Amino acid sequence: MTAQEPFIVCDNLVKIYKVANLETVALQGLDLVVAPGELIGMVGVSGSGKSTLMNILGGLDRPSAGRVWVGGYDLLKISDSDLNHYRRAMVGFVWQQSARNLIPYLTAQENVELPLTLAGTGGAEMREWALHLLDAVGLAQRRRHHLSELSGGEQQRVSIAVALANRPQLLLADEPTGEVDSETALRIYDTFQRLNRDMHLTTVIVSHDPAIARHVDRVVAIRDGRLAAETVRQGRERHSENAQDEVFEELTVLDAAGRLQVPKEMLGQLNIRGRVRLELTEQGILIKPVENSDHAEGAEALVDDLAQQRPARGLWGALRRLRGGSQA
Amino acid sequence: MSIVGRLRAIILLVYKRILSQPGLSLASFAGLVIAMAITMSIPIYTDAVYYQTFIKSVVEVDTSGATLPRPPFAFMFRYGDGLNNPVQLEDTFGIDEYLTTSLAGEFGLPLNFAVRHYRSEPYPLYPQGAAVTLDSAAAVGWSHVSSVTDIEEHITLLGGSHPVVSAENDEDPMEVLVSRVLAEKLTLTVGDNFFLYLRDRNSDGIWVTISLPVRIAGVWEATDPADPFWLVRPAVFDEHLLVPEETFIQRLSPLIPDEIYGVVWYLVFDGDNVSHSVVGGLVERINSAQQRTSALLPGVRLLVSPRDQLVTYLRDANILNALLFAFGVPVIGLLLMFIVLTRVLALEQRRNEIAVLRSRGAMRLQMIGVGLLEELLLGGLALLAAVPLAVALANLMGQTRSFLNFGSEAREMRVLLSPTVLLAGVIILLIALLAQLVPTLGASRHTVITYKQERARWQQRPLWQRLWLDILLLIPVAYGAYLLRQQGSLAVMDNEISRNLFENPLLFLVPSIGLLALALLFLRLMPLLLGAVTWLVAHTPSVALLMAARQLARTPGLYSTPLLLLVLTLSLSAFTASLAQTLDTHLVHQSYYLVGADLTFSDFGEDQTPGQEAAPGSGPNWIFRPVSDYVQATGAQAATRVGAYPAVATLAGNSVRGGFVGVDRFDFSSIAFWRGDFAGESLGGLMNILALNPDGLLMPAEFMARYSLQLGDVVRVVVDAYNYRSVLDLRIVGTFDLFPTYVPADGPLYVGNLDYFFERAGAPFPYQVWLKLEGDAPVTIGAATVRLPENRIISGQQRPERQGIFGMLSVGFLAASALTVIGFLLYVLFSFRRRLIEMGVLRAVGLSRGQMAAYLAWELAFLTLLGATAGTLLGIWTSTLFIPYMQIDSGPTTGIPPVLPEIAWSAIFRIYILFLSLFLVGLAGMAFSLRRMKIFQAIKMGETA
Repeated sequence: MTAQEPFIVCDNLVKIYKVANLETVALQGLDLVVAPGELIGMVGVSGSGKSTLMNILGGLDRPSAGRVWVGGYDLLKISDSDLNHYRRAMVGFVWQQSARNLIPYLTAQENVELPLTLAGTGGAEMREWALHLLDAVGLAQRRRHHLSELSGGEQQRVSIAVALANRPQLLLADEPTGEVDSETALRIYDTFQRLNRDMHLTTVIVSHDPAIARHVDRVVAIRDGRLAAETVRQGRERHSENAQDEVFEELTVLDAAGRLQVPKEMLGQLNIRGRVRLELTEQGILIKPVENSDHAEGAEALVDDLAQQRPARGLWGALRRLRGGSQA
Repeated sequence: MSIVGRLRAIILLVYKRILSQPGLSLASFAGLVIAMAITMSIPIYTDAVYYQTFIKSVVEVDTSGATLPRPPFAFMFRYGDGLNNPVQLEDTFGIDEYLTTSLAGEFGLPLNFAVRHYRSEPYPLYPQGAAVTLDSAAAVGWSHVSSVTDIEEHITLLGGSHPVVSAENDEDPMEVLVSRVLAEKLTLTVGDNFFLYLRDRNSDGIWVTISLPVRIAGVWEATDPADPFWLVRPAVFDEHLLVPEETFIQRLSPLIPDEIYGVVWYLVFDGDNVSHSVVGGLVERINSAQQRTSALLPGVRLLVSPRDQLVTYLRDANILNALLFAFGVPVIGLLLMFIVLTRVLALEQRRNEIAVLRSRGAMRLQMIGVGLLEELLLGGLALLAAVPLAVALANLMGQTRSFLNFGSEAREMRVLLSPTVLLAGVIILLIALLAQLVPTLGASRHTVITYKQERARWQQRPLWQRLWLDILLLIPVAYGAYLLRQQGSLAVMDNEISRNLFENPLLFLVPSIGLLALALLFLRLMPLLLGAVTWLVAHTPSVALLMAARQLARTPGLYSTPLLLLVLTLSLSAFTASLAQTLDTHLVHQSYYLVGADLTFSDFGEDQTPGQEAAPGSGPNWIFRPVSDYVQATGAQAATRVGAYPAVATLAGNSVRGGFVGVDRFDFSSIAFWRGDFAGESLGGLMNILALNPDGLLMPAEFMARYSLQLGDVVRVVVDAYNYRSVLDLRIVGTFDLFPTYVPADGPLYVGNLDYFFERAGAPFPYQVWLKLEGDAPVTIGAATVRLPENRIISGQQRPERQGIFGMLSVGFLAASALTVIGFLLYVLFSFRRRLIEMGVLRAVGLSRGQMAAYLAWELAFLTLLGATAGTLLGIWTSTLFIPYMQIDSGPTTGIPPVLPEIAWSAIFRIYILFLSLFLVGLAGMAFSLRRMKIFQAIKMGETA
C-alpha cells in the first residue's frame, strides 16, 4: 500500500437488514482501505456480505453504522440529491445479471448513450464517447445490435461500457463472470485490467472464481460480515509470462481492536471450540486448544438451546405445555 | 448539451419504450381511445340533438307568425313605424354604428349579411301637375319612401332600370322603383313623372310642405321571395317607393325635419359553430346588446332573435348532458379503471428498468418526466384517434332505437367539436396521466437493490388488501343503496329532480363503486376458494390440473389485475345490458298499462237524447253496437267494454275526486294488460269477486289505508258521466295496487261492474272498447280515435333523452365487450411472458409439452370460469339492487307500473360466447408459443423476462 490518500475507507461498517421483526446483520464492523487506481477482487461465500458492501459503495444502499468514505463522499451522511450525483458521476456498476445493467429494447449503443443523456451530455460528444467505450470493450462492430442478439459475454461487456459511460472513478462489478464460460470470463477480466490501467479506475470485482487472484492486485476475503483475509501477490508482476510461477499468499486480517478470524477448517482440524490458549513464542502468537472445557459450545449454541426452552405464550403455548406435560 | 438534444434522446427512449411492449401499449391506447371517444360523444350527441331542436323551434315560431322562414341566427332591431316618434337620421347613427360594426364581435359570430332599411312616413303621390288638396283627392296613392341596402341584388326588374342616385339640390326628379303589385294597382309605368307632397312639422313646430318630383325608374319583383335576405315579406314593400340609400340620405332627408319614420336593422349571423357551451354567454350578450341599443336609441326593439329558443336549448342540453353522464358513469368509470389497470401492468414491467436507470444516477424527476412524456404521447395520439370515433359514436347514438338496436332513422346531426367536447377528452387524458404518475412516483424511489429487496418481500398482500379497501368501499355503497331506497329514484327528467341530481351526483357512482368493491372482495376471497379447489383436485391423477390450481391459489398477486379487469368488464356488461333491457320492457309495460290493452278507442254510439237540456227523469239515450261486432269487423281476438268516467267518492267523510271504471268482468281479464305485481290476486280472481257482487267495488289499497277503509265497507260513489250524475253505493270487495290506466297522482280509481252502473244510471253511456289483437294484424276502426301502445312506445323511443341513454348504454356495452377482449388477451400475454422461466424450468425437469399445455390451459380455464362466474353474479346483484332506481321518465307516471329489473341473459350469453372464443384463441396462441419456445432461451433470459 502506498502512502497515497486512500480512495475507499470503510471503518467499522455495520449494515443491518430488518424484514418484519427479523434483523440480519450483513456487515458487522467491516474495515477496508483501497488506494486510488487499485484493482481489487473480493471473495466470500454467499451471505458473507460482499454484495451488501458493494451496494453501499455504489450508493444504492445506506450503511446502518460505522464510517464509509469514497472519493471524498461520506456515504453515511450524504443527502439524497448528492447521492444521485454520486451515483451518476462517481460510480459505475456491472452486475452479474444483465437485466440489472441494460434496457433490453435498446441497442448496445443506445444503452451506452442513455446514462449520458440522462446526465445531460449529448450530441456528437456523446456519440463519440459511446463509440470509444464500445470499442474499448471490443464491441464497436456490434453496437447496432439489440441485446437479445448478443451473447452473454457480449452483454456483459456492453454492461461494462454502460458502467463507464459517465467516466466514473470507481467501477464496481458484482460477479461479472458469474454467467459466462471461462473463456469469456478471461476476456472480461482482461477488459477490466485494461480499463483499470488506461483510465486509472479504482475497481472492485466480486467473484466466486478462485482464480481471481491472477487478475487483480489484491484479493480480500469477507467472512460473516467482516474482512477476514487478504491474498497478495508475492513479488511478481501480475502479467507474468508464466502464470504457473506466480505465488500468492493469503494473510489473515487483524482488525483495529486486535480481533482476527481463524478459518473454520483450522479450528475443525484441532477441534477448537469456545476457548483457546494463546502463547507468545519467538515466531509469533500460537493458538492452542483448551482441553476438557466445560463451556466448549460457545455462546451461539447456548442461545439456541435457550430458544428451544423458551416458554411459549398464548393458546399455542398452552397447547404445547399441555402436550409437553402429557409426554413428561 | 442543448435542451433539444436531450429532449430528442428522451423522446427516442419513450418511443422505444412504447414499442418494446407493443401489446400493452396498444391496449392502453385502445382503452384511452375508447374512453375518450365515449366521453366526448356525449356532448357531441347532446349538442347535435338540441341544436337541431333549436333550429326547428326557431323556424316553427316564424312560420306560425306567417312570416318568412328566417335563418336561425337572424336579429331584427326596429324603431318607429308609428310606435315611436319619427326621428332624424343623425339620431340613428350611434346605434347604426354599434349594430353594424361592434355587434358581430360581441356575439362572437361571423356576420353573414346585414340589411338596413329606412323609411319615411307615407306621403301622397300626385300625378304631375295635379292640385294638392287637403283630402288628397287627386293623389293616386300614399307611399313610403324607403331604402333597403343591397336590395338590387335580390330583385328582378320587369321594366326600366335601377334608379340613379340623386343629390340634395338636384333639379331632376327623384328616381324610384315600384313593385309590380304597386305598378298594377296604381297603373304606373316606367318613365311616369309624379310628385310627392311632403309635409312635416319642423323643430319650431311650424308645418313645412315640399313637393318632391318623382320619376318611376323601374318596376321590380322579388327574385326569390324565400331568399333569407328578405327581412320581411317582399309584399311589405308594395307600399313603398324604393330609392337607393344615398338618395334617401342626400335628397330626401334634408327636406324633412324628422325624416326617419321607421328604421330596421336586420342582421343574420352564421350560427353553425354555436355549441351549447357558448349559448349561455350568447344569451347574456343578446340581452346586453338589447340594453345597449335601447340606450343608444330609446324605443328601439329587438323584434326577431333566437334568444328564447337558445335558453330552451341550453336548459334541455344541460339536463340531457347531466343525465347521459350520470348513466354513463359506470361505463366511464370502468374505462378509467381499465386505463389505470393497464398502466399498472405496464409499470410492473417497467419497474426494473426504472430501477436500473435510477441506479445509474438518473434523477427521480427524469423518470417521472419520461413516464409522463410517454403518457402524453400515447394520450395525444389517442385524442386524435378518439375524435373521429366520438363523432361516429354520436351518430350511432342518434340512430339508436333500443339496446344494441341502431335501426332508427338517422338523425341529421351537426357535429361540432366544441371546447366542452375537447375538455371531456382532455380530462380523460389527465386521469391517465395521473394513473401513470402515481405508480411511477412509487417505482422511481427504488434503485436496483431496493427494488430487488422489495420484490423479495412480494409475498406481502397488495396495498388495497392491507388497507381493507374493498371493505371500506362497501360502506359508502351500502349507504348509497340505503339512500336510494329512501329516495326512490335516481334520475328523473324533471327540472326539480334534475337539480337533485346535481345535489347528489355521487349517487350515480354507487353502482360502479359497488362493482369495484365487490370485485376486490372477490379477489380477496379467491385464494381461499382456489385452495379448496386445490384440495379437491389433489385427489385426481392430473398433474397439470393440480399444478394449475396450486399456482392460482398460491400466487394471487400475479393475476389479480387482469382478473379484476375480466370481472369488472363482464359485470358491467351484464349491468348495462340488464339496465337497457329493463328500461325497454318498462316502456312497453308502461305504454300498455296507460292505454290498457292492445288497442282502445271510445265508442260514442249514436246520441238520441231528446233536446239539449236533460230534463230530470228523462235519462240519456245512446244506442251502441255490440262489441262483438268489432271483433268480427277487425279480426281482433276479443273485445270488451270499459266505461271510464270521473267520479267523486265519500271516503270517511271526505269527498275524494277520482275515476270510476266499469268493466265487463267476463272478458276484461283476458283483454286488459295485467302484471302479477298489480294486486294480491290475479285479475281473473278480482273479476270473479266482482261477478259474485254486482255492487262490488275494487279500490287501491293505498287509499283504503289512507281513509281507514276495510273490505266490506260501503262507499258512496257519485259518477259523473257526460253530465249525468249517478249515485252508486258500492261495497268494497277487493283491493289492488295498480290497475290498467290508473295513475295514483290523479286520485283513486273505483272499479266496479259496468252493467251495474248502467243499470243504476238508467241507461248506457259512451264507453271505451278495448281490443285484444291477433299478432300484428293492422286494424282499422272507422273514424274513432284509436289509442295504440305502439304509438306511445315509438314516440317514447324517439325522445332524445331516451335515445341518448340507450345509445350510451349500447355503446358502453360494446366498449365493455371490447375491453373484455383486450383485458383477456393481456392476461394471456402476461401470464405467458412472466412464466417463461418457470416454463423453461418445468420443461427442463421433464414435464412434457402436452402436460405443459394442459397446465396452462387449466389455468386459463380456471380463471375464465372464475371471472365469468364472479362477473355475472356481481352484475346481476348490482342490477337487481340499483336498476329499479334508474329511470328516465318524468311526470306523474314515473315508476308506474314499478320497474322490475330484468337480467339480460341473451346479452350475457353473448359475452359468454365471446369468452369461450377468447379462451380458444388464447389457448391456440399459447400452444403456438409453446411449440416455438426454446428452453435454453427461456432460462437464459433470466430476469429479463
